[in-house]
Amino acid sequence: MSSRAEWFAEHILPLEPKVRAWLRKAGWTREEVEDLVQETYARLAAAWAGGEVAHPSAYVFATVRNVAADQLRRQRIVSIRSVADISRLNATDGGPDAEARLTAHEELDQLRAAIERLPGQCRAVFVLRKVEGVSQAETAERLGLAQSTVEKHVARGMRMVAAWLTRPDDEAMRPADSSARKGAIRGNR
Amino acid sequence: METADRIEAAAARWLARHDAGPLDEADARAFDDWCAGDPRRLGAFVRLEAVSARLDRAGALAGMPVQARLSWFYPAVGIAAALALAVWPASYAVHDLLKTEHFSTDIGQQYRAALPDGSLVELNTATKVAVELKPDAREVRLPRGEAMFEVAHDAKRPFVVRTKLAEVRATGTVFSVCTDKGLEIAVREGAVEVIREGTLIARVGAGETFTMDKRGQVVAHRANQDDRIARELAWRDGKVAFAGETLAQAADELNRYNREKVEIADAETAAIHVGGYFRATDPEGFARALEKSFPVVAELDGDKVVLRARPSA
Repeated sequence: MSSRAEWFAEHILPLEPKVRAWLRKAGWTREEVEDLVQETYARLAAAWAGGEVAHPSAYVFATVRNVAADQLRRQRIVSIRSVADISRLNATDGGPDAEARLTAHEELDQLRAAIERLPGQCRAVFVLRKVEGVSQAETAERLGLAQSTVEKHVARGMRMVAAWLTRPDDEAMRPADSSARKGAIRGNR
Repeated sequence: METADRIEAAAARWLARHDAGPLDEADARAFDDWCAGDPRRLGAFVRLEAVSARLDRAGALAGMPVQARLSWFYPAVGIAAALALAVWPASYAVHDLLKTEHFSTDIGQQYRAALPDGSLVELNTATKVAVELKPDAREVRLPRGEAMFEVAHDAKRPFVVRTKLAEVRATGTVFSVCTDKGLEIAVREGAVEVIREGTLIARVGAGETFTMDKRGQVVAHRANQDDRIARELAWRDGKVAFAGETLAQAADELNRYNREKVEIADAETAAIHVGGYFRATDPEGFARALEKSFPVVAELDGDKVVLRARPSA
């Protein structure tokens, strides 16, 4: 019943911070982690068949391990440390699937925080489009913006929300709160 | 090699394009070509698509009328947007009102879904639910298993859960219904009415539980059950909780979640009282934990775990 997007939102996205922390601990650089995360999503998407997976956490970590191992093989520079760390990437380290599940209230708080962090106009677009669920076209009309501008805000905001949900500790991805709020007032007068 | 950052930026533009509406033929082809260029591109797109799907739940999860939800976001929204929202209240789309959605889980699975009216339903193990949102009522059938409902308040559209034995009616509340052993209702917030063959037989308020046996006889209606309700809802975190149940009862509960069954070999072991939280889908872990605290031994025997009294030395 769930679409690909819903399935990934429910089961994979919540695991991403853990996957990133893990890869960093295994010695991969920040840039390499970005590559590996995209590659992992690509593989999970290719394998996704619309069904439920009994233990998403174990499944995701097994996939990450394979992606990382392939990457090492491709690099042909096999440092002893990397190999040792990869073999330590044990699926059970991911902890029980339950840990990735948020209660409805926690999830709502997290999403609200993500939206609140967006800069002014972008935030207004997200509240209408995602909280109120109106179309992009109607969002443009209500806010008096060109549709192409709304589309740009959606693209930009989605990356910022993604960063907030999956690497909240990454300072570079956080807009300064105060300036964002000032922008909101200016942007809507 | 194209950097992950550039790929993500392009993926975000494609996602925004998809978000605007169905792609025309030329765009759809361009999107396919873009994806074909590097496997990581589809990965980046699927990831942002998941973020977008998660955000779609923000509105549904809030489960509040527009005005209340607005005040929540009000400080975060520009004044123009706020005024715009006040003038155009959200309405339910026609197709949301008329279709029946089916959800089901197998043994050991759980599933959570946000409904278009803002309510939330969570299915426990081996459960079937069908949801039909009508203009004047929200109807849920629960033929099997256990589910928890967080009902978005809407006095004009009562939320009715139909089970074999009775109907449970709410307007806005948080409660669970289990049909595995007759009918068990636990209310965490608000209140529900239990209706049988058209007659109101009970009102169950916050912190209360209500139980019927398999034949439909009311066996209990208890107040001040918050602790028990919290324990019973431990399944939502993938756990089961016990507070002094016998091992026989605990094994029954755990066996709802697993094909690998826990069996008790002797009466002495069956009568042990257990407490604590355990992972619902880990019968072996449960047995090993018991071995540490009680004079029992666990043996794996094919697809079951047998617990028996430890032979005295």
